[in-house]
Amino acid sequence: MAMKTKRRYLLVECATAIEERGRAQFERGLFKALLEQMGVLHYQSANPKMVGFVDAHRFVLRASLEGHKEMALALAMIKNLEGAETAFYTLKSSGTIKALMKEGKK
Amino acid sequence: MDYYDIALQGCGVDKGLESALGFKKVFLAGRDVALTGKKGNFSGAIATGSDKPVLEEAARSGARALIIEGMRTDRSLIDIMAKRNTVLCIPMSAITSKEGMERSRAIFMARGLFSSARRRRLHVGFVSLAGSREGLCSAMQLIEFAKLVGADEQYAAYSISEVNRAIANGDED
Repeated sequence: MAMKTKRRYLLVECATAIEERGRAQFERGLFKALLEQMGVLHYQSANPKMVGFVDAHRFVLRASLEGHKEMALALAMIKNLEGAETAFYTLKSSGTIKALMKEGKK
Repeated sequence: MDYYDIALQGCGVDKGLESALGFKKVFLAGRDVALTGKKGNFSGAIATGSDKPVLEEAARSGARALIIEGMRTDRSLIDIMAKRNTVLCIPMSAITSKEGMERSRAIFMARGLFSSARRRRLHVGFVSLAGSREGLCSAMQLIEFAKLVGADEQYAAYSISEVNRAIANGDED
């Protein structure tokens, strides 16, 4: 039987508003920036995925248990996304998406 | 554990953002604690600069913490700081303001400075020293930054909690 990969969910806040229409482009830009900060090897180990957007500033990312802390730091290092000045704050991490979404709606 | 950060006055942090980021308080340099880079009254202030004689004078005249610009390790300065119980402050902005190879070098320099300071049992505070909202980071990110520079999980949390509070309030531990 295959071992289940342990995952963590991160609630991230973006300093600038994310437009609903531009979410796909935002996602591509974010993962490109994460890859640049983490490097190919660490990026594949963290295996980041976008879970969903909470509101115009907050979204939830999924990462592997071993890579999620490094990803939080990589997010702090991103200060520019596709030419626009921005910042990402990792507010909370959790093993379940439910707890995180609840926190995000506060 | 309560976490504290130190940012620059005018960084745009408010109560809501402060607690969302996981900090009990974000102290403002220039309002809650003095930040100076010039000769004069260093007592109780955070002294910043790259000029060794000025930093030595700051440590001798009672500065609470020193920010060594360029993060070059200087053993004699570390010795003076150890004698005077001056805290070493490593700002995250010194890393995030740089790009590519320069950022990589800044991390390397910060690691050397941190290990040299801890070898002399100096306390090290990790702060964002953000000048704007974009420069701020969460408590979780600051802890990861401390770990990147060489702190273990326990010291990273202690630094962002106790050491940062002591820098801003002037408490002795």
